[in-house]
Amino acid sequence: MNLRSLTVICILGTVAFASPLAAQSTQFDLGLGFQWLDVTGNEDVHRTQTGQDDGFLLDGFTMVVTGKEAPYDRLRVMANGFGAGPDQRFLVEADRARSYALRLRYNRAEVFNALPGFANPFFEQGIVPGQHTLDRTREQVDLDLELLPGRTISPFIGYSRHSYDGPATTTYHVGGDEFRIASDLDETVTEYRVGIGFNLGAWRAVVTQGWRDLDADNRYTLAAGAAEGNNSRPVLGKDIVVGTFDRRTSTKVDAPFTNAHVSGAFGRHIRVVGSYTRSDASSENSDFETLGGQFASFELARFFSGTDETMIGSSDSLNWRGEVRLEADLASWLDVSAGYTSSHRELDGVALVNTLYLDTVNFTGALPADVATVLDASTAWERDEDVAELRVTARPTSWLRLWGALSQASQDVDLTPDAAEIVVPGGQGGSFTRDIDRLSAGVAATFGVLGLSAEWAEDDADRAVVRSDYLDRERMRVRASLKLGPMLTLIGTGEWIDTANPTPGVDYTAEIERWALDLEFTPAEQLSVRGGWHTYDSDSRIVTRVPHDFSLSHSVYVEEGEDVDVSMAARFAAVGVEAGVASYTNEGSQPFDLDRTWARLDIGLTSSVGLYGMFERRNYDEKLLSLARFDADRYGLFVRWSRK
Amino acid sequence: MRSLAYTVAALGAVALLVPALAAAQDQAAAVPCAECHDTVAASFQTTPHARALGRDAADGMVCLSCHAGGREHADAGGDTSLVKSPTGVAGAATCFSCHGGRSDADIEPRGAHVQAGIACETCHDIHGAAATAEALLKKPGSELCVTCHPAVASSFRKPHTHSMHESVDGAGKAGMQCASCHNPHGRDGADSLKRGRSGETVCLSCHTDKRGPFVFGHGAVVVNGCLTCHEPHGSANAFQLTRSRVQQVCLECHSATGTATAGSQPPSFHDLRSPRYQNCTTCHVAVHGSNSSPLLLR
Repeated sequence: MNLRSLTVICILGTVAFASPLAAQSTQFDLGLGFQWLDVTGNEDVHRTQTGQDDGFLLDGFTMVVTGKEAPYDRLRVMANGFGAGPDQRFLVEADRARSYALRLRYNRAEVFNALPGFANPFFEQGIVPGQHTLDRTREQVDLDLELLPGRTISPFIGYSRHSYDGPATTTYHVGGDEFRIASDLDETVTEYRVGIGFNLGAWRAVVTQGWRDLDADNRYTLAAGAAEGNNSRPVLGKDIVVGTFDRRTSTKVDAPFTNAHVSGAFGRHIRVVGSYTRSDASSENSDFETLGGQFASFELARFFSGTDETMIGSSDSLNWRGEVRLEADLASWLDVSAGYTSSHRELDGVALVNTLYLDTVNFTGALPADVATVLDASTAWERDEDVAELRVTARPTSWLRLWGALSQASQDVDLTPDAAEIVVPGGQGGSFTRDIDRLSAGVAATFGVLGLSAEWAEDDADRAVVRSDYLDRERMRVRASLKLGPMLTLIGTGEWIDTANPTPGVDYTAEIERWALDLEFTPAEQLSVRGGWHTYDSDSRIVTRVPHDFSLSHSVYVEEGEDVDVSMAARFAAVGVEAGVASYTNEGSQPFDLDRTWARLDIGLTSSVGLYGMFERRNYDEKLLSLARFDADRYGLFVRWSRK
Repeated sequence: MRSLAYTVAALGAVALLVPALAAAQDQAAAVPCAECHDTVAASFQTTPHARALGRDAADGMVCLSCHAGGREHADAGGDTSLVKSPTGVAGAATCFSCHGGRSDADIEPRGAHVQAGIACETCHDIHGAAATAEALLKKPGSELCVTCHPAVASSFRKPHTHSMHESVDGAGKAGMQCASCHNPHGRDGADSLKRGRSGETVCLSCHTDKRGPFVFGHGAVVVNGCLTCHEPHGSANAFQLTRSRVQQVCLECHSATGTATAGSQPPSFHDLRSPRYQNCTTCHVAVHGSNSSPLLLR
């Protein structure tokens, strides 16, 4: 049974379940209509950013049914996005007090990505989009049933089915060239879980045992028009071309998991929390590939006309995480919490790749032979982390709150790469340890309608595991808010993050500065206005090695963003109006302007039925890439029906 | 299979025992709260609390679940000093007496919001939420979050973002919510992020194709996770990358400059001036992990 069928059955079941005969009362909101899209410029970029389409659209549906005679106390059904929307959601919640609680959730998301400049060596020739594109669908069904909720013992069961499938294009590096290939993925994750909750007053606990399986098949074929590859020049006098290509990969993962959580209180002033999670995943993989054409291999120092390749691999991964925490009220105005968390992740992987190179000749055209190679590879890694933390919070007066915290994290990473992974010995794997000390503090004060707060944190690490790890990081946040009843709310925030790794040869610095000021003004119940001004500045620099001449260079990334938005909402009798504009302007490494204008007009025909129209204009200007620009108008006309 | 059999047997035993453990019903006399608080009582009738506590608001017993001293308050003719209204940070303890404490993703009595003085009633309308509202929220999900976190909302107005509820980025109503990844009742910092049921980072709850385990993993994922290369909220760059050029993302770690760090081996001779080599993932396509290529080539 596919997911669509399952969903239809669930919807029908829900309707039957929500039979008005059994219901005491029913409230619902429904918005249903049609939307049109008018895009000039790059439609792929627009779809990548928004996922919107033409067509019917279930803008929103929420229904709540209550009834003493029904098999539920409360049934809540929600659905939206079905039709032309990029995401669809369906939710059913039903419960009967202290008897059961049922939750069914269905999510569907269209995953589309086709950008003109990404992974595109032919961009200068005007060929778009790039070679890495996605047009896939992600669907998720989660069903959870808890029996006897709120009672001393509450067993529960759960089922999940997640799928990710559809076409994509990617590239394949082989025989001295790269070729665009088409992928067709069919992946399903199935999960079953059972558990028991315990509610013993001040002590609560939950234990869950789950079984998760992944089953994925991916078929790769040569994309249309991709036989010539990315390299148009001959290699040692021969053109590199693909005639035939077929690869099938299969992955199966078995991942049982266990988690437990307990919390409880000793008296009124001491609380303890403990949790433990463990998963032990193992995968089995196979890969069959046939390739035909004309290729060169510098590893073999030979030309060849194709390959037959088989791969089998497996991996085992054990993850666990345990935490214990003590929270205590030392006085009515002073509390302290101390916690310790330990986590472990490890992986062992092996792969055996047999490749038969067909009709090979050496670079002088002599010594013809089929050549077989075997790659027997294994890798391993292990990561442990222990974190200890202590936090003290004080409320010396009703208007002031102070807190301070310190923590220490110890990381231990072992990476064991396979020999085939090492291009130049040194620096790829090894054992790395890193200790990070963090000191943080904050203050918050409330003076009637005015609230002020500030937070500061400083991290100090003894070494970096990867080059972009920091040795020093300092973060500061401030916030001020002014609330004059329901009429006026003014919120201002600021944030600075300074990150550095001054190690010679790395010289990494990253500075982020962010400001935001937002105002909401509601002079009357029927009218509200809001405006926002936000800035985001980022400047990151790190020394890198240039691969083609091995010189040193600074990798610099800069953003200077400014975001302004203004909107209003008003309702006069049966007419409601909402409108707004937003403009995000970014300078720096990836300059762009993204402007939005939207409006919505709602006209009530009766007390429960109305019509509403919506309009959205989205204008995107990527300043370094004119091919990515678009102007998109979206119009919609909907009918709404509600029953309160 | 043996563990499954044990679990089924345990659940069967529990199902037999539970009726015997059910709590006795409270037979106390009714309190006439609704006589004075008729508006509150009427709206409260449609909320989950009224049913979950097994009483109609009309008899007032349900009110006493949260409002201690209500009976004395009623007997004294409405003396407000006798009844407790569980508001503010202290009020959170009242809510927590029934809610929370069952998992890492559940309500924490010392959660970041509570510690910051943000009380339950800031977001939840206990008595008067719309009947169709989710979790008695005053506004739908993310729309509520961005009223206090406007700078985060601004991140979602960049070109490449997770598909969020339209109140945040205008893309569509059915997208993700802030609570898809964050636990609004969780503790501060990284602890406010949810984890998958098997303890994995929350990203993998949806991006199942990146979960693995892969025979050949990517060290960046092992050491620091998804945020090594991706912006979680919104980005100016394709695929929510942290840098505008893919080669920057890669070379900032994969450069040998004399420091002993993981993955810092010198890259092969790639002429970055050629369009073929400017995007490392054109060849190293399996950047999230591979089952057949140590160099993540497929």
